[in-house]
Amino acid sequence: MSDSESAMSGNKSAMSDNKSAMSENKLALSDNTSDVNDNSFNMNELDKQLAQWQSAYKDATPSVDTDALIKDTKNARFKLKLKGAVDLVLGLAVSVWCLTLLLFEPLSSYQFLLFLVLTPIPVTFGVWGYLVRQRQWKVQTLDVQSMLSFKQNQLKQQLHYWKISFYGCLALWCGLLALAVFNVLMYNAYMLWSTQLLVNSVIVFIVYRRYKKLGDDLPLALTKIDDMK
Amino acid sequence: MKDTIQIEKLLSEYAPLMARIAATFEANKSLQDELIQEMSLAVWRAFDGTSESRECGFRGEASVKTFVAKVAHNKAVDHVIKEQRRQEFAHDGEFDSSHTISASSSREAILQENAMDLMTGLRQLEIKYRQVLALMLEGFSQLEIANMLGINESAVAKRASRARQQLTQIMEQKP
Repeated sequence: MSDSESAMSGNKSAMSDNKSAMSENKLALSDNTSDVNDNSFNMNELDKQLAQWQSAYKDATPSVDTDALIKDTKNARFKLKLKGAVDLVLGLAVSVWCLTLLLFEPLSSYQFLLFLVLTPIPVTFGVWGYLVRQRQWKVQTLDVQSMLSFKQNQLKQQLHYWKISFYGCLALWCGLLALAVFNVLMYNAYMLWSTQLLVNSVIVFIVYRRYKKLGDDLPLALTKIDDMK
Repeated sequence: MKDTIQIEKLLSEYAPLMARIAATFEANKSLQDELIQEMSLAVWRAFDGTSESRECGFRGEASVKTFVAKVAHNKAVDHVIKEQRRQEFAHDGEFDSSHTISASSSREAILQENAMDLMTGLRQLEIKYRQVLALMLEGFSQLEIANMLGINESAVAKRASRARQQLTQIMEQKP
């Protein structure tokens, strides 16, 4: 009997534990419900705020004269196409002229070699310009990240181009210096060669300054683009 | 000729969208107009590319609106980079209200003031946050924004949340 009584008392205490656990669960559930309510309230607030901003954003639309815009865009497009065509036609014309000289004019072997080298350069330059412009247009239809990466590469390439130009100019200047020294020593042509050296020194200096400036500005320019990514 | 008429119609339709994007990135009115024209030219060229080369034009993978917005955003970011290099870009430039429709009632005046506050606030955000928020305000989905910007959707969500927080703070700080 006492065993069964103690068992019953154990059951009772277990039931009481269960009850308190259930009440705790209820409390937790009620906390969760209030959290959900808070969240949905916050979401509603955020949605409301976004809707207000969307409406304000549409109200901020600057007035645009679409007819004038289309007319200006047409003109800009025409100028762009004309510029491209003129570049290509001029390049082609110079190349054809060089080719005509090569084929139909009596030339010395040095002249022949010179025009042989010159002939493809203008037309190649025209085609290269066309391809560069096509690439730039293509970039504008990429996603923003790819466009920014392209810009970064373009900046690096620009620096590389100026670096090569600088070393090229410096090499030419050194060659000119050697010629100048030779001519001054052999023929005493001091005035002519010092003027040549001076003019070319100015060009080398300008190219160096540009290269140096681009090199100094590059890290900041790249960081700024990185910040946009 | 038919293509030209179609592109003209398209530009008329999306001119307000491009104007809003331009205003989000540039406060100065004359530079804004220049930017809208650059955007229009880029959009025209991109649709030209559809007939000339499948490689560099509209390929029909996205909606026309998404494509126009992408090209316009690219142009806008390009413009910001150029202006930064020119050191003339003013982050807190004046919003030229004379070019929006003039307010005729006090309610409209309030709406315009809200619009001006919003644009001034938007222009103070970092570019990456500004882009996401501007595209959200245009009504694009997170997936569309992710495709336009070349980032994943979770990055868009993070940027959007941060952009909203920052813009709220900016708007609250206003007198």
